[in-house]
Amino acid sequence: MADLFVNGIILGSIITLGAIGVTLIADILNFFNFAHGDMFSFGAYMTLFFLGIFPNWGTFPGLTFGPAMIVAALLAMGITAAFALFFDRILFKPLRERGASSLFLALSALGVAFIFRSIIRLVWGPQVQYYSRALQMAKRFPMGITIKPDEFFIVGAAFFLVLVVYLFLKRTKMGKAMRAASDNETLARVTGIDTEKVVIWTWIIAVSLTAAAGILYGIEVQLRPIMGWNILIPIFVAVIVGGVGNLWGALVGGMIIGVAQELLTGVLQNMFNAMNVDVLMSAYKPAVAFVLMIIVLLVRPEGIFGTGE
Amino acid sequence: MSLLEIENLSAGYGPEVDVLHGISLDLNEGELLAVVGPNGAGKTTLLRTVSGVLHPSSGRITLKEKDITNYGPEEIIKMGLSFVPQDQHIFPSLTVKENLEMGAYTLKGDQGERMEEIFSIFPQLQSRLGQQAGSMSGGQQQMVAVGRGLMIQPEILLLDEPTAGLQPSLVKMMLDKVREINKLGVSVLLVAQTLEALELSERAYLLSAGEIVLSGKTEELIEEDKVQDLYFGSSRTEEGEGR
Repeated sequence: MADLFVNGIILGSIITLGAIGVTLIADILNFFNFAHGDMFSFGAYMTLFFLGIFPNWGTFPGLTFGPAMIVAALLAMGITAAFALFFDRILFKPLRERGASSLFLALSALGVAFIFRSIIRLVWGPQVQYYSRALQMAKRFPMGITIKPDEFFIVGAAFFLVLVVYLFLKRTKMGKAMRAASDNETLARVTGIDTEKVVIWTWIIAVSLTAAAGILYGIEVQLRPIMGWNILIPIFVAVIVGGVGNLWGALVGGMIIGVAQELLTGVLQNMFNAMNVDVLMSAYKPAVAFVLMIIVLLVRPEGIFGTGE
Repeated sequence: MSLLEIENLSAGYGPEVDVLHGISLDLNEGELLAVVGPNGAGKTTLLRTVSGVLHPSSGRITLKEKDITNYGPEEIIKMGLSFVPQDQHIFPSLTVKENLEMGAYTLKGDQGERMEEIFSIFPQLQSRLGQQAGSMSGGQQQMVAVGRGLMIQPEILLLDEPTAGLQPSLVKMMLDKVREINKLGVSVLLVAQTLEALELSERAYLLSAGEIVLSGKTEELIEEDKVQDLYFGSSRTEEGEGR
């Protein structure tokens, strides 16, 4: 049980990074970014690309990767964000200026998702890839908890990024302007806030975070072209559970979804194993997310932290 | 030369649905000008157009002898014109301090000194700097909104019914503040909902169905039947246009 919970926290921290971006875009650009999952994958694959061209700089003690991963990750986050900005200029901005509805924007984002996924398949192929094939010994803790050193890094990096985004939104002028624009776009313009600049920053933050999440997922699991699409549903559910537009909602929602997926499927798996029923519960993780979403929508549609606006 | 000049302005919310039909109006330096009129007359549309939120379908707006007809709000505020809308006039999830900071978004550097000046007008805000603006009472929110509008040290302040929804004691306080702000040298264009608000002004325009039907010195205008109708119902006129 405790081990499943820990696995849930690890998965939850990755989902959280994706959810923060989705919630920011939903709040400021008024649509659910269906391309978010494939940007997640693209970040992971771009990192793989840079790792391939960098010399071997060694690994951090105990981890399966070294400084090259950090540099590659930062470059990949930047490039993924640059791609997103490119699509904003050629696609989302013209649609915005024509007053396109959220539905149109979301469907266009779906198109962008396919573009990212096709690029990945074309360049890297459909097969599974790894950053490192090195085996790692998990550390054992009481209550049957096992944690690999890489996993400490994943959770630490995720929380560090959440903190950075929080401080940016809370302390910097642009961060405050982003919150102001999400509160009331017309008033933001009347106040002199450059809302196009706000949009650019929203993309940069949202997309570099999802790219980072993809990279962390690649370290924890493996790289597959469909990885981001598969995690998009839990990310959306985390946003809805937490309340659209709320940073803490994304964090709490992400953790709830991560833990619920791991715990419920794990517990049911043990139950079915005991009953000798041949079923692979891990395939049902998205179902857990959906059930949670339905419950939240029925009981508290504005989400845990939502204000119901 | 007037500070703000509006000539033959038509504007609205879409093609061929103009709310304003050829309005001409001017605001002189240091003046407190009122615009009055029944609901739906186009008062808010006028302020939204002047501040750049809406683009006019025809006509001309000149600010400090510069044609700003098709400027966006981001550019107009930089020219010293600040707009405080009637509702949705604050950033509810931001603190009072952050609301004021956003008011000075177009300015560089620390605005601590300017904030002190705002506190001298609205001392109540000083002790509530860290409070979320959305959690405040209507009167306090109005102070935040006007304070935000004053942060850029505007030459012109557009106020859309700043006393709407306030309890009577606060209405008087807010109107005193408007007078105080005007005395500090800010030219004010006030959409006045009440007779007290109208009485603050030196000159006024009566807007009805998107057209200016009367204008002149406030003391003379108040005596007009159409203005009396607006505030006291139709008792004084025989036809009784009603409100």
